[in-house]
Amino acid sequence: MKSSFYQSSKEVFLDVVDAKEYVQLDRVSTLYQSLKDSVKKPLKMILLYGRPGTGKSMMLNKLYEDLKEQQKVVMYHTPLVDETEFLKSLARDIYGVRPFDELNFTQFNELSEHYEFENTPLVLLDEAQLYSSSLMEKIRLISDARKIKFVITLHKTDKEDIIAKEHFQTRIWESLELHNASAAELKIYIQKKLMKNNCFDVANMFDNKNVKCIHKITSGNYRDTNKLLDSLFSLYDWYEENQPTKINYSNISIKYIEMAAIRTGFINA
Amino acid sequence: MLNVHDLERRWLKYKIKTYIPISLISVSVLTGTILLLMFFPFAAKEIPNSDLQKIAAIDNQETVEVKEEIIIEVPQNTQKQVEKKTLILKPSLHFMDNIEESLSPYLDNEVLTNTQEVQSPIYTQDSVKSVKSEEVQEPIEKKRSLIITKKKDEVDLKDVIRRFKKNKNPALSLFVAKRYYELGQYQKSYNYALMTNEINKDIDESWIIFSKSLVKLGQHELATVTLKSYLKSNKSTQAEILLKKIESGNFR
Repeated sequence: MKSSFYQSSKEVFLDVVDAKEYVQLDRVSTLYQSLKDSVKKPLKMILLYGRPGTGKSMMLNKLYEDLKEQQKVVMYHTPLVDETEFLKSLARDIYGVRPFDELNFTQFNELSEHYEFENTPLVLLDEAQLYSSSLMEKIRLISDARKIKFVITLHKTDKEDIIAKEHFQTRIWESLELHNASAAELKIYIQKKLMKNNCFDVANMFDNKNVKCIHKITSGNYRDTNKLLDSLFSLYDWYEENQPTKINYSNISIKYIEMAAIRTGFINA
Repeated sequence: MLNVHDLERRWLKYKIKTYIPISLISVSVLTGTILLLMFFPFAAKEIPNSDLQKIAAIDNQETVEVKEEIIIEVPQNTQKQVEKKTLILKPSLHFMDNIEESLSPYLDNEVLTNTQEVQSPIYTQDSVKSVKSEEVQEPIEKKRSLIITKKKDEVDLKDVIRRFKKNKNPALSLFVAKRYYELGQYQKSYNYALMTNEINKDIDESWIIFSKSLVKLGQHELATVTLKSYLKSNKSTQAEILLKKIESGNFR
């Protein structure tokens, strides 16, 4: 049924970080390979940065999925703001120790001295800009001791230059920046995502013209594109149920894209 | 909750809002074009300008001037009428040519100039006044055509000057000198006559215009001296007549 067709297409673009939904694009693929290579190097910290919605979390998640079978990898999606909580989580997830009492930085270092790994354990920290400066300093010291390797993701903002931050300046040996997709990349992204979920007919409805329109609205931001397409397929679903004559099944309508953009707030009307 | 009707309404408003600037620009461009076409009739500019080249090339300047004015001064609807008149006048011009041949060389050019002025009254301001009752049927139209002639003259003159600057043809500078003299701009006519003399010292008309301009500029003595020195090395009846006129005070 066509109705369920659009419904399933809508679900494809739900904003969830799932490594299975990771779409390989040329540029992203190259970056991901660089990230994997960097992890193998004896680097202390690796920085992954970019504007919100450029796929940092998704890439981190993909890295976790790819490496978890090969070495000790821990991923923290949400920041552990409290220092003790952070250290206790590290002790539990890396060394398998569950301290009942307080665990301070010195105690954690002493604990880490008792463990040796073939490959240095890898800790993936998403949204690292939310960590406090003092906690970031502790992370730096842990990485300096070469007991744990960190891959952190940061939002790139206009106001602050991340690379210039004191605790990163001297220790980041590898930094990778993620960008928004180009119109061509966005088309591949949309179609690949749809085809992965067997929505072949809908994937064929996207052509250069309507993808260009989507790109113009979202600037190629993956998160915004997901949001827009989710709204778009909600509209299609409604029209399919209520006014099916208005649907052109060969092409995605620019009008509906703009309506979805109005609905999601990308267009102020 | 998905309110598609409201969304469609908002989309329509958005589309109208996005098309407003484009529509405004289009309308203003269109209006501007129409206004331009209204106030600057490009059709008038399409009149061929090739006759100017003939002007410079032909020695008899007075005749060429008449041709030019025929095209320029008469509005399109009366152009045929004027052309007819020139056809009628042509035999009389031949007749004048015959007279010219029979006249003594002393009177030659002066008489020729005068007769031409009489023969082609509709082409100059003075002559229009003199024969207005006979030949000019619509005086209002004539006045309008005279204004156009003046503008065209300036444009043409600039064109000739530009060409003269390029090729330094004395025929062109002489033409400019004569034109300026006719327009009463004696300083300029003096300058161009002087330039003509520097390029070619043996053009009678150039020396005459040069001297006439000097007289008009109040330099009677210099004009006399110039003509005398010219006559020492050249034989020119026109120059002699002019010299006599200046000396007797008939030419001022």
